[in-house]
Amino acid sequence: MSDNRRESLMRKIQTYAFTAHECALYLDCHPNNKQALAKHAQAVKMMNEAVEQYEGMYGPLTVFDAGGNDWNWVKGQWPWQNKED
Amino acid sequence: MWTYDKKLQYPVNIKNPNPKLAKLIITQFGGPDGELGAAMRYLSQRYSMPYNEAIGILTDIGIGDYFWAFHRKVTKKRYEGIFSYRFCRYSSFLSASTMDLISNRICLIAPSSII
Repeated sequence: MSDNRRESLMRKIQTYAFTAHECALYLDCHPNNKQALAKHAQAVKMMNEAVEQYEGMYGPLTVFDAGGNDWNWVKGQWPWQNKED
Repeated sequence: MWTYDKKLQYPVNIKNPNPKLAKLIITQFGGPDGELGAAMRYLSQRYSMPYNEAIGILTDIGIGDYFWAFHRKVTKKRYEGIFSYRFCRYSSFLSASTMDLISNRICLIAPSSII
Protein backbone atom coordinates (compact mmCIF):
# COMPACT_ATOMS: atom_id res chain seq x y z
CA MET A 1 0.00 0.00 0.00
CA SER A 2 2.69 2.42 1.04
CA ASP A 3 4.61 1.28 -2.00
CA ASN A 4 1.84 2.44 -4.30
CA ARG A 5 1.73 5.80 -2.62
CA ARG A 6 5.46 6.16 -2.93
CA GLU A 7 5.37 5.19 -6.60
CA SER A 8 2.55 7.56 -7.44
CA LEU A 9 4.21 10.46 -5.62
CA MET A 10 7.47 9.75 -7.39
CA ARG A 11 5.63 9.62 -10.69
CA LYS A 12 4.20 13.06 -9.97
CA ILE A 13 7.63 14.46 -9.20
CA GLN A 14 9.09 12.95 -12.34
CA THR A 15 6.30 14.35 -14.48
CA TYR A 16 6.57 17.89 -13.16
CA ALA A 17 10.34 17.88 -13.21
CA PHE A 18 10.29 16.70 -16.81
CA THR A 19 7.83 19.45 -17.74
CA ALA A 20 9.91 22.11 -16.03
CA HIS A 21 13.07 20.92 -17.73
CA GLU A 22 11.37 20.82 -21.10
CA CYS A 23 10.19 24.42 -20.63
CA ALA A 24 13.70 25.41 -19.61
CA LEU A 25 15.13 24.07 -22.86
CA TYR A 26 12.57 26.04 -24.83
CA LEU A 27 13.11 29.19 -22.81
CA ASP A 28 16.85 29.07 -23.42
CA CYS A 29 16.19 30.19 -26.99
CA HIS A 30 12.94 32.05 -26.38
CA PRO A 31 13.62 33.88 -23.12
CA ASN A 32 10.66 36.24 -23.30
CA ASN A 33 7.85 33.82 -24.04
CA LYS A 34 5.23 34.50 -21.37
CA GLN A 35 3.35 31.24 -21.87
CA ALA A 36 6.45 29.15 -21.46
CA LEU A 37 7.48 31.12 -18.39
CA ALA A 38 4.07 30.56 -16.83
CA LYS A 39 4.13 26.84 -17.63
CA HIS A 40 7.59 26.53 -16.14
CA ALA A 41 6.56 28.33 -12.94
CA GLN A 42 3.51 26.15 -12.58
CA ALA A 43 5.44 22.93 -13.12
CA VAL A 44 8.06 23.97 -10.55
CA LYS A 45 5.39 24.85 -8.00
CA MET A 46 3.62 21.50 -8.40
CA MET A 47 6.93 19.69 -8.30
CA ASN A 48 8.00 21.37 -5.07
CA GLU A 49 4.74 20.42 -3.41
CA ALA A 50 5.12 16.80 -4.45
CA VAL A 51 8.79 16.77 -3.39
CA GLU A 52 7.86 18.11 0.03
CA GLN A 53 5.33 15.34 0.49
CA TYR A 54 7.70 12.67 -0.74
CA GLU A 55 10.64 13.78 1.37
CA GLY A 56 8.49 13.97 4.46
CA MET A 57 7.55 10.31 4.10
CA TYR A 58 10.39 8.61 2.28
CA GLY A 59 13.55 10.52 2.87
CA PRO A 60 15.73 13.06 1.08
CA LEU A 61 15.95 13.50 -2.65
CA THR A 62 19.00 15.75 -2.69
CA VAL A 63 22.11 15.90 -0.54
CA PHE A 64 21.01 19.26 0.80
CA ASP A 65 17.89 17.78 2.32
CA ALA A 66 19.82 14.90 3.79
CA GLY A 67 21.48 14.86 7.18
CA GLY A 68 20.10 15.47 10.61
CA ASN A 69 20.54 12.70 13.09
CA ASP A 70 22.12 10.24 10.71
CA TRP A 71 23.28 10.16 7.13
CA ASN A 72 20.25 8.43 5.71
CA TRP A 73 21.27 9.54 2.25
CA VAL A 74 23.27 6.37 1.63
CA LYS A 75 20.70 4.15 3.25
CA GLY A 76 17.72 2.94 1.36
CA GLN A 77 17.18 2.39 -2.31
CA TRP A 78 19.09 4.07 -5.07
CA PRO A 79 17.02 4.89 -8.13
CA TRP A 80 18.36 2.07 -10.29
CA GLN A 81 17.78 -0.60 -7.68
CA ASN A 82 14.64 -2.61 -7.81
CA LYS A 83 12.57 -3.69 -4.87
CA GLU A 84 13.95 -7.19 -5.23
CA ASP A 85 17.53 -6.05 -4.64
CA MET B 1 27.77 23.28 -10.77
CA TRP B 2 25.04 20.75 -10.55
CA THR B 3 23.10 18.98 -7.88
CA TYR B 4 21.40 15.70 -8.55
CA ASP B 5 18.14 14.24 -7.40
CA LYS B 6 17.92 10.75 -6.09
CA LYS B 7 15.41 9.77 -8.72
CA LEU B 8 15.18 8.56 -12.29
CA GLN B 9 13.87 10.86 -14.99
CA TYR B 10 11.04 8.41 -15.55
CA PRO B 11 10.29 4.95 -14.17
CA VAL B 12 11.94 1.91 -15.68
CA ASN B 13 10.11 -1.43 -15.56
CA ILE B 14 11.64 -3.99 -17.86
CA LYS B 15 9.40 -6.93 -18.59
CA ASN B 16 11.33 -8.79 -21.28
CA PRO B 17 15.12 -8.73 -21.39
CA ASN B 18 16.60 -8.42 -24.86
CA PRO B 19 20.40 -8.72 -25.12
CA LYS B 20 20.47 -7.61 -28.76
CA LEU B 21 18.81 -4.35 -27.93
CA ALA B 22 21.01 -3.88 -24.91
CA LYS B 23 24.04 -4.17 -27.18
CA LEU B 24 22.64 -1.55 -29.51
CA ILE B 25 21.84 0.76 -26.65
CA ILE B 26 25.33 0.63 -25.24
CA THR B 27 26.73 1.75 -28.59
CA GLN B 28 24.45 4.78 -28.40
CA PHE B 29 25.79 5.56 -24.98
CA GLY B 30 29.54 5.23 -25.39
CA GLY B 31 30.19 4.43 -29.02
CA PRO B 32 31.16 6.85 -31.79
CA ASP B 33 28.62 9.69 -31.84
CA GLY B 34 27.44 8.36 -28.49
CA GLU B 35 25.57 10.36 -25.88
CA LEU B 36 28.50 10.52 -23.54
CA GLY B 37 30.78 12.01 -26.17
CA ALA B 38 28.14 14.47 -27.28
CA ALA B 39 27.50 15.61 -23.71
CA MET B 40 31.21 16.23 -23.14
CA ARG B 41 31.46 18.19 -26.38
CA TYR B 42 28.50 20.42 -25.56
CA LEU B 43 29.77 21.08 -22.06
CA SER B 44 33.20 21.98 -23.41
CA GLN B 45 32.03 24.07 -26.35
CA ARG B 46 29.69 26.29 -24.34
CA TYR B 47 32.64 28.28 -23.02
CA SER B 48 33.38 29.68 -26.45
CA MET B 49 29.82 30.59 -27.42
CA PRO B 50 29.26 34.25 -28.33
CA TYR B 51 25.59 34.30 -27.28
CA ASN B 52 24.02 33.59 -23.90
CA GLU B 53 21.23 31.59 -25.54
CA ALA B 54 23.82 29.28 -27.06
CA ILE B 55 25.59 28.86 -23.73
CA GLY B 56 22.30 28.05 -22.07
CA ILE B 57 21.18 25.49 -24.59
CA LEU B 58 24.56 23.76 -24.73
CA THR B 59 24.64 23.53 -20.95
CA ASP B 60 21.09 22.27 -20.61
CA ILE B 61 21.32 19.79 -23.46
CA GLY B 62 24.79 18.71 -22.41
CA ILE B 63 23.59 17.85 -18.96
CA GLY B 64 20.34 16.55 -20.42
CA ASP B 65 22.39 14.12 -22.49
CA TYR B 66 23.93 12.99 -19.23
CA PHE B 67 20.39 12.34 -17.96
CA TRP B 68 19.59 10.12 -20.89
CA ALA B 69 23.03 8.56 -21.06
CA PHE B 70 22.95 7.61 -17.41
CA HIS B 71 19.35 6.57 -17.59
CA ARG B 72 20.18 4.30 -20.46
CA LYS B 73 23.30 3.01 -18.77
CA VAL B 74 21.34 2.36 -15.63
CA THR B 75 18.66 0.55 -17.55
CA LYS B 76 21.17 -1.57 -19.40
CA LYS B 77 23.18 -2.38 -16.32
CA ARG B 78 20.25 -3.36 -14.22
CA TYR B 79 18.46 -5.47 -16.75
CA GLU B 80 21.25 -7.05 -18.82
CA GLY B 81 19.03 -7.12 -21.87
CA ILE B 82 16.36 -4.63 -22.59
CA PHE B 83 13.21 -4.98 -24.61
CA SER B 84 10.80 -2.43 -23.37
CA TYR B 85 12.64 0.86 -23.26
CA ARG B 86 11.60 4.44 -23.53
CA PHE B 87 14.01 6.90 -24.98
CA CYS B 88 13.56 10.49 -25.91
CA ARG B 89 16.24 12.61 -27.43
CA TYR B 90 16.60 16.08 -26.00
CA SER B 91 17.10 18.54 -28.78
CA SER B 92 15.66 21.82 -29.84
CA PHE B 93 14.06 20.08 -32.80
CA LEU B 94 12.19 17.33 -31.04
CA SER B 95 9.55 17.66 -28.38
CA ALA B 96 10.66 15.04 -25.92
CA SER B 97 7.67 15.58 -23.70
CA THR B 98 5.25 14.87 -26.55
CA MET B 99 7.03 11.66 -27.38
CA ASP B 100 7.00 10.71 -23.76
CA LEU B 101 3.29 11.25 -23.43
CA ILE B 102 2.41 9.11 -26.42
CA SER B 103 3.20 5.88 -24.70
CA ASN B 104 5.38 4.54 -21.96
CA ARG B 105 6.01 1.25 -23.68
CA ILE B 106 7.18 2.33 -27.11
CA CYS B 107 10.81 1.72 -27.84
CA LEU B 108 12.26 4.73 -29.56
CA ILE B 109 15.84 5.08 -30.54
CA ALA B 110 17.10 8.18 -32.27
CA PRO B 111 20.70 8.52 -33.35
CA SER B 112 22.74 11.21 -31.72
CA SER B 113 23.16 14.37 -33.70
CA ILE B 114 26.35 16.29 -33.70
CA ILE B 115 26.49 20.04 -33.79
